Amino acid sequence: MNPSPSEIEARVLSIVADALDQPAERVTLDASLVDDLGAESIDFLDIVFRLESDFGLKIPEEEIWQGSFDGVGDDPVAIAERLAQLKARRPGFRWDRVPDRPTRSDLPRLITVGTVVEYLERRLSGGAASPE
Amino acid sequence: MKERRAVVTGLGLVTPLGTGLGATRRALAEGRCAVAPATLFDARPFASPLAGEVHDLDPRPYFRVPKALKLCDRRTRFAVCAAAMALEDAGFPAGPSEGLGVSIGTSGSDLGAEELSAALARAEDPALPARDTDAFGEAALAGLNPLWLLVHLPNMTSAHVAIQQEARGPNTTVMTGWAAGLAAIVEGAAWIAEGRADAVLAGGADSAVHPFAFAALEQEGLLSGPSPLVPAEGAAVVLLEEQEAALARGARILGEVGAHALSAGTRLAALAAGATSAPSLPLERLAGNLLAAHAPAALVLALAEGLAGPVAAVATGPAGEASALQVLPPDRAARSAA
Repeated sequence: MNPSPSEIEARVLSIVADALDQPAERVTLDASLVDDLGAESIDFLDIVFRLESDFGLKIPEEEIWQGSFDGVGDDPVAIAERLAQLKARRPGFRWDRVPDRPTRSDLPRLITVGTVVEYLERRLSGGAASPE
Repeated sequence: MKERRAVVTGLGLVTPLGTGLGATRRALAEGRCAVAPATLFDARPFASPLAGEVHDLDPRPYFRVPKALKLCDRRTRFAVCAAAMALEDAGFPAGPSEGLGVSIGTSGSDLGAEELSAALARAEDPALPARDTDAFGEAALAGLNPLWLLVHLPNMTSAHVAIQQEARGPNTTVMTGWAAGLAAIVEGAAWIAEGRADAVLAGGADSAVHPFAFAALEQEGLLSGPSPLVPAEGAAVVLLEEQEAALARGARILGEVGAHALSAGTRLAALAAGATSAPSLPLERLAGNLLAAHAPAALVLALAEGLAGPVAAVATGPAGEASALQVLPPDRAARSAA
């Protein structure tokens, strides 16, 4: 039986808080793992492993991106278009911190706790890894 | 180049008798004993289950970035705490320092035995990984947190001390068995003499309270007989500084590094030559053998008492590894700078 969305969210929040040594109140859905919660590259490895263990899934690392930047590549125009879509979907995020012309290396900063929750909800409901 | 001398200005200690130099000294004065059957793992299958364990250590206050705790095994936590204590004891200015190096000695590792076993047990056929390296790789990769290796690499001990203290000078982890901690202090003093560093956090950190260490010690016959060795854990770190810089900042000087020697596979007598006295360092009262941290801990305790004369710390190990270090009383250090 699949976990409910609120249960998924609770487990993700707990894993992220523990892995990044952050108090629960800072781990909000709009929080950027990198900019708000101090995540480094090894923390992404850690979080993915913990999610795999907790939810019994295999999570290829790049799949967390999907739905955010799948297929975008390095094309700045395509990145900008996808960013506009994301902004519409996530108005509570601190978009003022994102550079005007983001490059691929800026993208990890856009992964929020909500990104991770949404990804797991899609996977666990048997849907595709990327939205629509 | 003018001769640069290394002086000791700070002390840090974590032992089974207590967290901190003060707690350890009080326990020694009260004659307390911290040797007891191991609780960190079930040691009953071994010839002797006794161990000296560090209890009640909350490492968090000593970590500038507590998130790193998940990457630190026990000996690394002890090292970070002892190093922080040494810096505070010395009144050394906090903040990033290009001239501050780290040299810590340690011996084996517990390799996260429990975590590793659990990962291998999850393989489809739990017996297969033991005899098939491909199966081992798959089982381990699938079941182990990718950070596992980072936690247990010995060089991470000195790395974490440097990260927490923003020490940007030279960095090394010395691995010469039981002599490693003292050898690391010798190395640190050499860095100062050579001008590679102006200050060095140097010492030993170890934990032998795990199945691999007990098995190795038992094989050597050290856990049986009339006076079996008690495997223990802890860390002892000193802050070494270049003498003139230490005097200029008004540091309290505990001693000056004098003669020193390193070796492997030789007898010790030749190394200890040059020391003019060897006080009774309370090695046997340190609640077990701290391995690489043992001699540095004895040195820290001797320096805390105050040196009446030169002291020689000597470390030897079962593989013939050895190191020796002489520390001179501070009066001479102050006089020679005048």
